[in-house]
Amino acid sequence: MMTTTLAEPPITGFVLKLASRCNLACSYCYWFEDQAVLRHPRTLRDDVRDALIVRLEDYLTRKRLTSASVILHGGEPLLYGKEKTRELLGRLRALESRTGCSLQFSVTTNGVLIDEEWAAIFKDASCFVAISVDGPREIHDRARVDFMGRGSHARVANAARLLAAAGTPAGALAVCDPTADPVAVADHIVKDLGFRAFEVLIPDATHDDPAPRSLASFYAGLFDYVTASDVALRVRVVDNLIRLALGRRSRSQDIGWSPMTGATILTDGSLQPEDQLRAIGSNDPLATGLNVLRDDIDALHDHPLWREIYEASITRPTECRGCDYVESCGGGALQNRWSMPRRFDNKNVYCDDMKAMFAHVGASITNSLYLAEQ
Amino acid sequence: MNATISSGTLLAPVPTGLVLRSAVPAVDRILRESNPALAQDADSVVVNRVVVVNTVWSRAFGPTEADFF
Repeated sequence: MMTTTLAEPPITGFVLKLASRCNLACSYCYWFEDQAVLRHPRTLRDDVRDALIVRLEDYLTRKRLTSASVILHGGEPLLYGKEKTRELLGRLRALESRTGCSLQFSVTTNGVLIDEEWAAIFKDASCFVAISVDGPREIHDRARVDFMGRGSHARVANAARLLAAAGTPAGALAVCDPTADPVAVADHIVKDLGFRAFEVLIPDATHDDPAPRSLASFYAGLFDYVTASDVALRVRVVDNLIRLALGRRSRSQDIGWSPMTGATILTDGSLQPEDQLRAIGSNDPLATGLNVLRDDIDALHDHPLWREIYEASITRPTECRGCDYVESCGGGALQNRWSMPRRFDNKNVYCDDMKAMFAHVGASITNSLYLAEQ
Repeated sequence: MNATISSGTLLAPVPTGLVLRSAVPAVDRILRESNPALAQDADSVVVNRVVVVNTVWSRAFGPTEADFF
């Protein structure tokens, strides 16, 4: 691999697993692909919560961070309960005055349990709500079903209405179905559900999996939709494609080149690298043996698994050497580079799609640019 | 002064203070997120089909690697 030498940045993204179970059984869920997650407590233990707050305060203070994000996650994080969530968010918010670090809260939820009280809790805590919705009912309900096989779209659409009525900041989080029409997906999210911010995640895939479907056409269509929209939209993958095509950094690990700065805390206090990497294997592939009940968050930086993943995150795969697109693509998401024999030293499993996407975005942007005085 | 950029253009030199803008609002918003004005004269700005602007201009966008870390 081509290695760079950069000072390691601090961890600025903390995924808190409030629940290790879910009330849906989505067909593509990376979390329940690994049955090892069922060994963890159903919800965040109180002693873990207390220890985590102490560890976070210590880490934010010692690293002199001025900004960090806390993402409430699961399973389904709302299974943690309203009172406990309200208390947790209050205690986390109190860290700001003690550490001088501004905290951005968000929660990733399937939306099924959202009611007026939940909407108020998140609004009061300035917690952005990302609701998982893949598109119109016929697309969404293909994968996002409950344990009885019933689709969840109607309940998710109701949650979107409740959040809008309460004025709670919210957006949609979709997983790309490459066979879907990107205009239908985006139109539903924007026009039917009323969201102005959303993300369409690239489906998990590694080199150890069957070859994934091509998704370049979907994302090119999504880019065209967003850039032609009459209303201002914030679509994370599109923003990052633009940033990368302009020679800047991606703001997520999903696309482009970006050093790993995210940690995950499980319901039993386990400290692990970024959660999305769980797709690389089974039987708790991100286990470090570290736990907030015993260890400082700092200890992650020295763990061999963290070291391997971090070094991979700042290192382009050998196969990418000389590629016209490497400055933009950078090899892409780490889980999309993974194979058991070569670990992270592979080109992206979506390599041809990435090239097509960046060619499309680059051409579109270039034709729009001009120089002007300030 | 406004100057159109087309693919493959080599602009030279570019004086201090000029900013890169886009006619596409979604792109222009990102250009405006951080001050994109060139902090110093650049010998050249290369535009190609993959990375739209070269590192001379990219440094003006920030955050630079030094800022980032």
